[in-house]
This record gives sequence, structure tokens and C-alpha cells, in this order.
Amino acid sequence: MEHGSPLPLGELFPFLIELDDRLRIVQTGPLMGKAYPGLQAGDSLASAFQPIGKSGGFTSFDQLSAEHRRPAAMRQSQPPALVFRGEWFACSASRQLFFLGWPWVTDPDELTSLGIPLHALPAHNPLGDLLLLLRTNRNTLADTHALTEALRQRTLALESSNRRLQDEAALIRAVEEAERANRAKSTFLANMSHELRTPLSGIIGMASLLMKRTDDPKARDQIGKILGSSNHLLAVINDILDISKIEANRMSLESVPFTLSGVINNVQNALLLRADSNRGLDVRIAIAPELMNRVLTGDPLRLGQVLINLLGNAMKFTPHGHAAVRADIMSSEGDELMVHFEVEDTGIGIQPEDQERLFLAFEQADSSTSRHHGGTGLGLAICKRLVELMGGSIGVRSQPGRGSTFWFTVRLSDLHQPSLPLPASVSGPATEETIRARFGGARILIVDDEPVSQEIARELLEHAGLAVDIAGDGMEALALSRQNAYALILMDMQMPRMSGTEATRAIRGQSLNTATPILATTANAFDEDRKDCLEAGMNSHLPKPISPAKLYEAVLHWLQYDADRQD
Amino acid sequence: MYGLVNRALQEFICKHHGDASWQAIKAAAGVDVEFFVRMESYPDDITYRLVGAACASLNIEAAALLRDFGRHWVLFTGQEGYGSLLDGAGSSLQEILANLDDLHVRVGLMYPALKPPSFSCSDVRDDGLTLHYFSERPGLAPMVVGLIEGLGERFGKILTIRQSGDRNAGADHDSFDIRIA
Repeated sequence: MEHGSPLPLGELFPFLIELDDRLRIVQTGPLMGKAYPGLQAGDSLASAFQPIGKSGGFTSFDQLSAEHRRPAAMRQSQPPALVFRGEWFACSASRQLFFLGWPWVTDPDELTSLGIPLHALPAHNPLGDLLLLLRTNRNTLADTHALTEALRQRTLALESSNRRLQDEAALIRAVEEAERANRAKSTFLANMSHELRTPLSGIIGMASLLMKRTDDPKARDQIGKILGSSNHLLAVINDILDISKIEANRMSLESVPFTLSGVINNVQNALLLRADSNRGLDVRIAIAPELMNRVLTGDPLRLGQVLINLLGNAMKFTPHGHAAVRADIMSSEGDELMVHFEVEDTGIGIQPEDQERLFLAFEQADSSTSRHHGGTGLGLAICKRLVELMGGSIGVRSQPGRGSTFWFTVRLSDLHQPSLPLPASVSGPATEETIRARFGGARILIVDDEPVSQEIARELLEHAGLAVDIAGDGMEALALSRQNAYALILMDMQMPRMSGTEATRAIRGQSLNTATPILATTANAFDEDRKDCLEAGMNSHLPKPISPAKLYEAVLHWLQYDADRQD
Repeated sequence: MYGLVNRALQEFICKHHGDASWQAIKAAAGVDVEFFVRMESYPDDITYRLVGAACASLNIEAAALLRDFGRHWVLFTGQEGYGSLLDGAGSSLQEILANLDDLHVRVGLMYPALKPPSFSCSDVRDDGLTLHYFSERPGLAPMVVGLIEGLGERFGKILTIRQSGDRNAGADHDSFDIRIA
């Protein structure tokens, strides 16, 4: 419905409604027909629209004239009940009323759905632009909601991550606490082992002295059993001490020149002394020729300890057949050699399910093992840790009833030295005789606060023809060393009044013995104890309990050293 | 450029190549904006870096990618609620292309930082016209081709477009001869 007008009011106000004084529609703007299909000239305003915000309906020209230039809003009486917003304009002289307005929509698509394109609106009418702006703001609001949601998700993720971190921190604290407790346990065990080794030192020493004094076969047999049991107990204590040191991170390795043939020799000698070595078991040694006498650098004592353990086990668990030790170069890079060892036996073998647990501390393949064969169950765990400290690894292949092959690798340095510049060691009963023959009458100072230890050392050394002075602590030792020149001093570490290290420093400072060899004799078996001794000016360290053979060996070595020094 | 453009690029990449590709492209472009706000103005450099990284990652020529993106832009703005803007710009392809600057006047009211291109038409006839394109931004002529094609699709028209003036070849602006089948 579009009616011509002398004025282009319809173009200016496309939703215009013109009424006569009876409130009947005279004409409408060009877009009103799209906004309100069916609205025709002659329709009454009251039937077509309902006012919004006013009581009652549209009643009279005068009533609406009073609304002249006031904001107005009215709703279609028919669905979709579109609202029109605008103002009334009354022309009293001509008794004409005009509604100048536009449909109240909030989205550009609402206009489009009415069939009214944006460009149909006159440029001065901001409706289209405002609708687009509204749409844009709505999009911005949606973005804000999306950002808020993203922030919420991020916060949840951070909270979750934070909780996880807190859990992890608690876990780390618990692990640290457990490790601290483990180290404390290890230190306690190490201290306990010191307390055990001191009296054991007395037992072994005294039994050794008794053995020297008697020829009665029965007494010698009984003393031999005392020594055997004591040595077994010492081995157990040594195992506990080793595992404690490793777990407390207090185990450090030597780096000294040695040959593999020397290590194997010591291993064989050590195992020859064992009770089970006389069963006629065939023990085969196969060292690669290029390794045999090569001068390597590493810790020969700890390497020997691993081999003694593995070969000792092989012998223990092999009723008949053979045991074999093989060594070969696995790889070499520069001065570094990776050496591969195997210890094979034809013994009882190990069940597959037990093989994984073998290298765990306090585990044995079968709990009955310790009942049948003895042992602490620490030997293989110690081997594993030692091998790892030496830059290698350890493992086993075994078939129950057919035998086992334990293998391990260690990293050693090759110094490319032609020969080993080590003094030839003298051991065995001949040592005591050699001391007597070559150094009989030499004067030795024993410094120890333990009467039992004093007595053992005095008896053993006097038995070898040496003259012995005794000092009960560091102060006495210092006084004696300022009066007498000694060939050798044996120094305990922990003593009342003045410790061994303090006394050594004083003796080295001012005495008649500033260059005399001083050997530490102590049940303190940690590496740092040995380091303390050397730093104080001592020449070497003999951990207690000291066997007569080891004592004689060390005394001979250092008496010879002293003689050479004086030459 | 407004976040709306980067959002359209994101939707375009995700729709055709997947979310993982978009994340990889963003990472390669060194863009750490997690969420593009449509009404926020971002440096042009971000959009250029994203397009460059997308070309490298998807092994697509920049011209081909921009052309596809131009077609997508027409679809995307319709989805975003600005279809009425396009509808309002004219009832035929020729009318819309002739009214593009008017359309940008409206858009500029909503996006005050808008730096729109300018368009004019010549040789307008029933079966075609020549569109002239002026922009401060370099290298976006292929996107204009895609936009024209997208508008053609909106009107169900098959178009043949030939670039008759090329700023890269020394012309003072880009121009496109458009034939409507």
C-alpha cells in the first residue's frame, strides 16, 4: 500500500502513518506495507495498533494531539505483533496526525526477514547502522563469553597442574625423607660395624697368638674353629659395611696401576684359603693375552672383591664339574678400556624368576640358600654397585641344573706402561721369618688405647723379633717419639686426650720421628678415615681387625721402606 | 587488521586442514595469540605472517591460498551476521560491486580503526564490468578475485575474471575484467 503525496514524506519516513481526525489511516510510507502486510487505508488506528506504556487505547484526535512531539511506541494488533517506535506529530489546523517511526528490531536479520533490505532505509535513518553495530557488539559479547570460558578452562588446568605439582613436591619430600632415613641407617650400620670390628679384632688376634703358642692338635683344631667363625663373622660385617658405605654414598674407588694377572692371583689365593676349596673342583682361568700383564688403572681391590664374590659363589654352588673365569676387551676408546668378565660354573643354576632379584640387597635366590650355604645375601648387591661405580654393568645367564654364567663389565684406563712399578709383595709364614732375619731388634712404637689390641700387636711383633714400646694415647706417643727414634709407628685413630691424627701431625712437626713410617690401625673403615690419616701425615692405613699375616706383610714392607729411605 | 579477519583465516584453515594444522601454522608464524577477538585491531604483520606460514606449511602458493580465502570471506561474514550488510549493498553483483565503498562506510562505523580498500567500477553492463581496486596493503589482489567469485556464488552466477591491471607489473592500481555468464 503506497499512496502518493505532494510532499516526499514517504521517502523521508518510509514507515510513516498519516491519520485523519477520526483516527483512520490515510496513507503509509513505502516500507510500512512490508513491515505490516494487510494494513490498508481506511483501517482504524485502534484496531490496527495498541499503544505501549499508555492506559486504554487510541480514542480521539484530541487525545493524540496532546502527544504531539512526544516519544511513542505501539504494537501491531496482529501477529507478529511488531513494535513501532517513533513520535506523534499533530497538525491542528488541518486536523492531520502523523506517526513518524520505524520498526523496533534488534538484529539486521529481522529487517531482512521482513523483506526490508538495509539499503532501502534512507541514509539519514541510523536504524541499519545501529542494527549492525548491535550485531557487532553482540559478537563482541560472544567473544567475551568465549574468552571467559577459555580463562575458566585455563584456570582449571592451572589448578589441576598446581595440585599435581604439590603432589609431586610432597612425593619428592617423601623420597628425600626416605633417602635421608636410609643414609642415617647406613651411617648407623657403619658405626655399629666399627663397634663389632673392635672386639672381633681382639678375638682374631688373641686366637692367632694362642695358635702360635700351642702344638696340641685338639687345641689347634678348636682355635682354628674360633678363627674360622671369627673370619666368617668378619666377612659378614664387611659386607654390611660395604653396602652401608655404598648406600650412604661414602664409597669411593681407588685409581692405581695394577695388572689383571695380579688381581686374578690374589683372587685365587683368597679362595684357596676357603674350606670348600679342596673338593677337587676344576677352576679354569682364561684371560685374553693382551690383557694379562697390561698395566691398567683402577681399583684392583674392589675388582678382586667382585671376582672373589662371583667365583666364590660358583665354587659354593657347584658340587662337581668346573668353574671358569674369562676376561676380554669389549671395546676401547682412547685410553679407556671396557673389559668384559665372565664367571661360569656347572652348578645348580638359578630359576628364571629368581634371576631378577639376585642383585637386590638382602635377597637370595632361595631363602633356604642362606641356611644351606650361608652368606648375607649382600654379595651380589655389592658386586652390582661396585661394578656400576666402575662404569659397568652386571648380569646372569643360567639354566637350573646346568649352571650359571655371571658376567660384568668395568671401565679401566690403559696407561700404556710397559710394566708395573709395584714392590714385590711378600706374604705367608715366610714374612715373619724375614722380619726377624732382616730387622730383628728394630724398635717399633704401638699407639693404642685398647689393652687387648696392645697385647696382640706387642705379642705378634715381639714374636717376629722386634722391640716394642707401647703408648696408651697420642700424648704418650708424642712424648716417646721425642725420646726415641723408631723404625715404624703403628697408630690407632680414636684415643682419649689426643687422637691419632693429632699425634701424627705433632710427631711430623717436632720429634725424632719426623720421617718415620706411621701406619694407621683403626676399625674406622670409611674412605674418609683413610683420607684423614694420609692428610695428617701417615703413610698408610690398615683397617682392623688386622690378621697376623697382614700385619707382618705391612710391617715388613714399611721397615724395608724405612731402611731404603735411610740408605 | 581486525581480529575478524584472523578469525576468518583460522576458520578457513581449520575447516580445510584441521585444528592441528592451524596450531602448527600459528607456532611457525611465531603468533602466540590464543584467541582473536573480532572487534580488536591487530597489527597487519600478524595476518601476513600467518598467511606466509600457512603457505609454507600447506605447500600452497600465496595467490592460490588468498583466492580461496577471499571466497571463504564472503561465506564467513554471512555467518557472522553481516549477510544483511552484503544483501543491503545491492540486489545484483554489479550493484554490490559498485556499492562496496558505501558498504565500507557502514563497516567503518562499527570498526573505527578500519583501513578499508577502495573500489570503483567502469564499463558496467549486463554481462560484466571492470572493477578497480585501490589498497594501502600489498599483495592482496588474489584475495579480491576470490571475493568477487564468492559474491558471484551468492548470486548464483558463473564468472570469468581476468586481471587487466596489475600493480606488481607497474600499474597504479589493480583492475579486474569480470564477465558474467
